[in-house]
Amino acid sequence: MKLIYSLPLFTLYMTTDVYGYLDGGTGGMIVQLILGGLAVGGSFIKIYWNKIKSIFVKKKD
Amino acid sequence: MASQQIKWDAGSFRDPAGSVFFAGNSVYRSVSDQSEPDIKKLIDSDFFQRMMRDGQIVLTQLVENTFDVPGTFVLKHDTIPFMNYPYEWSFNMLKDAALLTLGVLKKCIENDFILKDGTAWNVTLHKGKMIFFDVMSIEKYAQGQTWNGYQQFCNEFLYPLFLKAYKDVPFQPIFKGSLTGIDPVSTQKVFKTSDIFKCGILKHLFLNAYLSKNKKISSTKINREIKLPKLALLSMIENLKNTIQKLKCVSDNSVWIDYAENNTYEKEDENNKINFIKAFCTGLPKQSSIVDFGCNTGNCSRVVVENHTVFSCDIDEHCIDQLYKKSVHDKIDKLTPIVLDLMHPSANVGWHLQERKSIFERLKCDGFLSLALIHHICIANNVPLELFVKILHSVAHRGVLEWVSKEDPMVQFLLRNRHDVFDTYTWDNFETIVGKYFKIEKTLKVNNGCRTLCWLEPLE
Repeated sequence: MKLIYSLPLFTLYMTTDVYGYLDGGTGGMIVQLILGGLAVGGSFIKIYWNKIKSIFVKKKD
Repeated sequence: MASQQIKWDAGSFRDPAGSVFFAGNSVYRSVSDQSEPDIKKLIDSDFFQRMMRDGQIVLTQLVENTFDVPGTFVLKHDTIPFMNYPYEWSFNMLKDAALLTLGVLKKCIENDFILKDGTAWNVTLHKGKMIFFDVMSIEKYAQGQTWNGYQQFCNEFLYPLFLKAYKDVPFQPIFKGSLTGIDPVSTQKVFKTSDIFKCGILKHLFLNAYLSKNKKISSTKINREIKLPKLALLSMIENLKNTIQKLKCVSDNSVWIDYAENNTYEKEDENNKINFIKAFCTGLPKQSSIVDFGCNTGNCSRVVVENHTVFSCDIDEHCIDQLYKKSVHDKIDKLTPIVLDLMHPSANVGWHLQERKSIFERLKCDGFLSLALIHHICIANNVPLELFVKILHSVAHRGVLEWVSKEDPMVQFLLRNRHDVFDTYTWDNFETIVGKYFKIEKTLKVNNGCRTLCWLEPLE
């Protein structure tokens, strides 16, 4: 259960209007949350890389 | 107005939103009242129309329901004459099917729709390329939802591709044993810790297997309060797509892959063989369909496809893979490559043995080629001559069958460590048996007389 609490929780929202007949599986959903979170995190770092880099470069100066 | 008689597809029953049925020569899908607004919106949308025009999704229209089925409207699909299944695909066929599914999924999400599932049975090879046909799989996207089909996609696409690409484990027998592919825990057993650095293994296999094995996690009721931003979901799908695109097949251990170059035929014999087949094809009605059993890399299939539709079958998935890649490259749309072991052909499987039909029920052909095959069936696999000829006759009543005598180097090779128990494997016996089912129109001896091509026509 520790793993669930450490997951990147975004917002609370009940999604009830999904008609899917298939059981997506707990593991599959958790993997998507983790990978989705990593992907967003990775994109964030990519976009703001120069700003992040500049913090350390300034410190060197 | 009396309702037209319909027949429900025995393989389409899981989704209460709608099921496939046949009326006359057409294919329809019922649409529940609950799904109707979303389906209408989908059919009218630009992105869906574009995907149909591009040949990614089967041509579909919404028509009034004049049948005795639920709903106000039904979907009418273009007919796909020959459905083929994942256990009949080669590596690149499964890979292209996976990439198509992800492509459809991505376009759906970008337009506020999503796939309900991620099954390999939503796709088939049609007119030379993979096509997505389960339109009912597309539903409205709910903001923040995860993709319900991700685990299924992994089990039916990703893990079979991983097994073949990284471990050279064929996936066709897996699908024959289980229509739902292979789960992460079973797949993980084939991989070592050092495989963690292989593309996709840590993220999509090891992590998934860990979570599946953990009973506390796997039995947790995940509440749908957790919202996954659309961008994150699209990023994950892009990552999945990149992972699959990088997968390559280890296809250099096929015994037969260079058969076309290094077989036992002389050049002149090869030319005579091709001319014999061309003459046979010329005698067929236009646009006939021919099945080529034991097609190898498809040299003879490519001769036939100039004027007819061909189903090219071979036990060797690497030969089929080569043929598929060549056909895609050359844009040949009348050739369907099929991985087929005649000793273990695709059978009736699934619920009540009705969900997926056997290859012989699906293959409706006007003629056959059976070249350089009889000794592999009757000598290597001990099938009596008559049983083999009967199977060919059940497929079509005309064809070209190549007799391979015991003197042939290939038969000598097959018998090198065996007792010769094949007293009835003689030309005389073969001729007698064939004469019970076909008329031998013409013959041609090749390979120093060790092989005889027989042009077979129906008995009058």
